[in-house]
Amino acid sequence: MADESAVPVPGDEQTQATADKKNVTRPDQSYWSLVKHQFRKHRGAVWSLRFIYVLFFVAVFADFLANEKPIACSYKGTFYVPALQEYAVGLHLAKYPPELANADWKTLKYDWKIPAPVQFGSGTPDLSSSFAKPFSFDSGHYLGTDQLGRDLLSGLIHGSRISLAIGFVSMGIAAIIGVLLGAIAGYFGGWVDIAISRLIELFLNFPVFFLIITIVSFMEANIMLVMVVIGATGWMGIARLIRGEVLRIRNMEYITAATSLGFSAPRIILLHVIPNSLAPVLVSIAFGIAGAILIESTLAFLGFGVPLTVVTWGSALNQARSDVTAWWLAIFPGIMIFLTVLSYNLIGDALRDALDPRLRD
Amino acid sequence: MSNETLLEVTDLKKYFPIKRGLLAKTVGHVKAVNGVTFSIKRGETLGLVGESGCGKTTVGRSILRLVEPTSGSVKFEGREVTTMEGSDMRTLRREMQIIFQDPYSSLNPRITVGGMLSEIIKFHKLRSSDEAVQQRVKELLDVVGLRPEYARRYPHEFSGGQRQRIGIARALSVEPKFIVCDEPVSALDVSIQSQVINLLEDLQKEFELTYLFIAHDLSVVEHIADRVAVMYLGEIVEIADAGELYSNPKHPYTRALLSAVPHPDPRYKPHRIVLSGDVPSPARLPDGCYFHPRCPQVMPQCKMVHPELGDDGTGHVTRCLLYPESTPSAVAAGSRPIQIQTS
Repeated sequence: MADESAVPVPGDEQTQATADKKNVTRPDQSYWSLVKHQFRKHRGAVWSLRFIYVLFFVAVFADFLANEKPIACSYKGTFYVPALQEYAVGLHLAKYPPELANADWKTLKYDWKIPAPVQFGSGTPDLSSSFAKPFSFDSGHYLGTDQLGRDLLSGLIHGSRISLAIGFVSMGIAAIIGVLLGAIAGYFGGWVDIAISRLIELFLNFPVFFLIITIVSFMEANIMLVMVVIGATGWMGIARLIRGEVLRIRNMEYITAATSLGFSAPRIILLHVIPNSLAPVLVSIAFGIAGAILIESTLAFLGFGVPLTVVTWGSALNQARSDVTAWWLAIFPGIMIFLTVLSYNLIGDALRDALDPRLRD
Repeated sequence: MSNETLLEVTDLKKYFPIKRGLLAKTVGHVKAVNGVTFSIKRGETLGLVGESGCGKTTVGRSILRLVEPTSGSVKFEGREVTTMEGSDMRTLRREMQIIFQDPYSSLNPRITVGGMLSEIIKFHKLRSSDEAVQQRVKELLDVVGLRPEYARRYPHEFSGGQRQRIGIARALSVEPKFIVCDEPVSALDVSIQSQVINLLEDLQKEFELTYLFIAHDLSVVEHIADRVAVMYLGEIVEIADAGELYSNPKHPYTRALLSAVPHPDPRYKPHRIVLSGDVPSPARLPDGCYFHPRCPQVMPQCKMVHPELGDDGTGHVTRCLLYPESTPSAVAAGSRPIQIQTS
């Protein structure tokens, strides 16, 4: 064939990989490597992605970054790793010795200890240091405390877990519902399509936020519930996108080919239609995550959604209402919410551009 | 080629409803295929020619049940295809395959060539072990003239001609007896066209395939087809052996098509029959002969009487009132009633 000479000898991936690095517009690149290349041109999105990575790291290692228990210590000649052991104790797999079970870890006399960078757990009240000012390095409250004396930085660190979980779990639920319903509506058409389209419109008519507030205020405060409700009311946009894509892809000849080969409808939908219609949904998911985080923050700000003992960015913001002069309680959680939501939006923006073949140069 | 009939299509019709309004009321039908009858012998290639919109693609897809025919019968090796279901249908899928026109939209861009072929082989359980499947993938690529290493590549890494070869490999992967070639070369460069047609001919010899070769271009069909059927507005207007049709075209439409075939010699000035007017809409077919509004040899009765397919005794079948065998009265003496369109 004509372009055979331009194609590297298959089998030596290394040459191919280095060649890819040298010449990024080679015709034999896969679709996703082109998208990646295009995405990288959006510098804001690249930094946003890095910010989200950092947030992930913080969320995963929150117990080692902000904990009143030391990371490692020696007490009365015995070696402990309390921050790690806490997980085993929590799962009833292990126990602390009796004298440590109810001890105040801050005031214990250790032989030596490696403390966590922030020496306060989240949600541990300490009324003696109510409204501590930020940047007071003697007390260890780097970003100050709220009315109950809970350390703000520790709250932000632990709150990042909830913000990330909210975004991913609720959008995961929304994506699964939306992709399946949208693909079924688009592929089968006819009355199935009409039924699902009307269902989408029905759900779109719910004032989602008030629905969530209603459900959440009737049920016991539970973060899982909030995630499920956000997910179950946020799938319509994705379903519509997928339906439109599937309507286009269903008429492609490779789908006709799959039918002519006797493949079953579920096989065609799952293996041939959905993988080809998923790209625009990524954009929708990125924006959806940002929206979900905002909804959760708003709920927590209003005092719904999470138990009072759990600190989230929204509930930390809520504390700012108790004293207007405690500016740090409004500013720092606000910055975190702002940066995270902005990051997801920038990523969504860049993805939309990168996935759009018309904008490619 | 044997004398045994492999595929028999009788009075095949496909009407697409035209829906309007809020309640999607059917206000009419597009008669894409309007009573097509033909048969193909084992090992034969039947060319199906006509301009775009005449229903030739719908015929091909109705035979494979990729669109459900409105009525009519399709018999493959004596078995009725139009009413087949479940496992019978799945078996039939292995015996009849299709090659598509557009080499760009006919391959799933997210799946490698090897992945695509091995999915089919595994789905139909054509090979048991993984090595045997991979071996078969290599074989298939080799058969269509591609290097076995190409199995790891994605469709967008190939040229149009290579993609069409992959499409052929896909059709061959289930070891079919019959392949509908739906304008397989229309989207290719002329230089690649002949390569692909030669490949199709070689494969026909090697695997004893039977083709229904659909094209809008008579010169392409001339090379590969044993017999040629010409379609106009959902009907077959002429069927004859390829040599006979090209040397002695009877229907005015066939003559017009043949006169439009480009000639390699620029000094050759043929008498061009240029048809006036557009093809009528298949939703509102003309009375009488469907071709009469554009026919250069139109007669008064053409506007009233719809001609039948008539055999001149040599297997050359024409649907035109210029020939006595086509007038409905001649046919009426046999079995079929006079068909006068009133709508």
